[in-house]
Amino acid sequence: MSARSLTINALSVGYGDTEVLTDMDLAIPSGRTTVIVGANACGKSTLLRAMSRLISPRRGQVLLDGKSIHRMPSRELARSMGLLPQSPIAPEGITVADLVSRGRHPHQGMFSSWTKRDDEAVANALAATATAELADRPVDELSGGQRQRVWIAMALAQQTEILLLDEPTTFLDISHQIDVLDLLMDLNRAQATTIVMVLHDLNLAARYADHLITMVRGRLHLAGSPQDVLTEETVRQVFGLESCIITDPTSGRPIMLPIGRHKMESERA
Amino acid sequence: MTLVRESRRSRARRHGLAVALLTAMAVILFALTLSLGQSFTPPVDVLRVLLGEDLPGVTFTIWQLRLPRALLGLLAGLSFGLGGVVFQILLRNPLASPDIIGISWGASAAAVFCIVVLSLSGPLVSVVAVAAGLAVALLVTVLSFRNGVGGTRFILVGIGVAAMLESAIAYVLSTAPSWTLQDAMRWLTGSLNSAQLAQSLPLALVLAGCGGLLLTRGRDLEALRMGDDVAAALGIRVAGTRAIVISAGVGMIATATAATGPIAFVAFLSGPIAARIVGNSGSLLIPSALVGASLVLLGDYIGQFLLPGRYPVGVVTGALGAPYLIYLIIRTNRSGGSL
Repeated sequence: MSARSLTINALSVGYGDTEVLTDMDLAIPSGRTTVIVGANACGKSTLLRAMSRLISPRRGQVLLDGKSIHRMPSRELARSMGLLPQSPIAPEGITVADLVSRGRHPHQGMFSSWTKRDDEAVANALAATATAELADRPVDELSGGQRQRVWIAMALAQQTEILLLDEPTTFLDISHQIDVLDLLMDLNRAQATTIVMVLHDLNLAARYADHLITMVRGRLHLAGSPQDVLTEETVRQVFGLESCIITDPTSGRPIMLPIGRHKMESERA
Repeated sequence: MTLVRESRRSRARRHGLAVALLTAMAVILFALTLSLGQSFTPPVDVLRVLLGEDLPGVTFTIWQLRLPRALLGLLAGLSFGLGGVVFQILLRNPLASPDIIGISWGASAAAVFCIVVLSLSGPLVSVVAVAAGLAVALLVTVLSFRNGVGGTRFILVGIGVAAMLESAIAYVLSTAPSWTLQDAMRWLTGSLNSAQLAQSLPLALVLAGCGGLLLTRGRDLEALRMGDDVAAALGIRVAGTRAIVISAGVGMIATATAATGPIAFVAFLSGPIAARIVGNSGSLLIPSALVGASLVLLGDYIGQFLLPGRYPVGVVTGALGAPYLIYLIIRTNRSGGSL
């Protein structure tokens, strides 16, 4: 797969009187995993939605290989860039195989018949997400973790070089969160898929990101490797929180420990 | 790989079987309407008359009474079934059918106003009805608009508008100098009693045009069931698709309503019934149209011949639909269920 370049140029987005994103400039490293973090309502989901053309910018552009995505035909864009939004809806009673098949939509014509390539793409997506044995089960009978795998499989069947995910781990317990993030990392490593996601958990973000982006009130704050970006100073500026950063002995990535007002050890002393 | 192909093929087989079954059902009911009435006409005689032979007594019955009725019922049923289900899919709620959210009532009110007050007739009435249906769709959209079109708000506003339009129809009918019960029933619940062969032609044309357009959007509509964001990510122009589907759906529903009145609950019932039969094996558009046709033909037959006294089709479908509406409201409250 060819690496696609995704860049954001002086992007501003707003609803009504409020401006949600202001003058964002970003280059998404291709073939890597980029994670966006920030406090609630800092505009991180809006950034993801603007990158996938769900909302139009007031000013500035999102460029895919130098071309504005707002000038590209929708189906062409959908063959290059996939998106898993925060709360997709599974039609009642739909089976896993059927849902995953729908990822093929941008590759098919209005009445064109289903091809061998489509079958292959769906089978590969099921295999990559370990959901093949669920293929004939209705999606609404699955657990939260399984369901999220199935949605990721649908996005994979779309066979895009870039995959955007809006908080893919919300509502999952910790083991399933790790499971989903490991799966995305596998994809990134195996197929060089460019992954851009919004995550809530700062430590998971630092653990899985090649490239970490922090945002404050609709503006880009910092972008770089997790080691460079996740510092006590950053946590103070982004979340208004005092913290202590240590190194994860397993991954070597930074870990943020919040300090809070009750420092138990010293209180006891 | 084989697993994927197999499960896709078994879905396709199931869908094909369901469509064949529903087609057979609609055809049988259509044939039944032609050969059964006050008297029984053997299907062979029906065929001979339709092919142009002149059989004393039979020719008049078929060409003047039964064929107009069967044809209008078939076309109106297809229109209501297809028009209803596209709204339910688009707004992801079975309550969003045009007869619940006021679109049918808008068309009906406009038609009754044209006929009773302005003494108009013919295609002009259909045109005004379509315009009124679109106006109501627009009105409900504008009234429920707040940062985008919200599903539930849209439906609640629609129910309110529908109630206002219903009383407007009742008012116009009550002030009309010479209204009959039969006319009133037609505009309040729908009826095939005044069916004429000439009414079927415009309906057939609109059904072919709008219905054909909707069928080309079948796949996009399926994708919209997963939410606007997923659909957009799959390369669908959500706003454009919505505009096309709403216009075509309203055009079809309003034209049918101008001919038969708002046959109660057919648009509302067809989609969910089709969904039970087809399951998730494929698109609901054609199955739902066929269910609509069967409902109208069956309802009309029951109303005419199986009940003590004769009732218009809308009374029968209304009696079928109301309990389902109650069931749906109870179930939706519990689980937030979709189609």
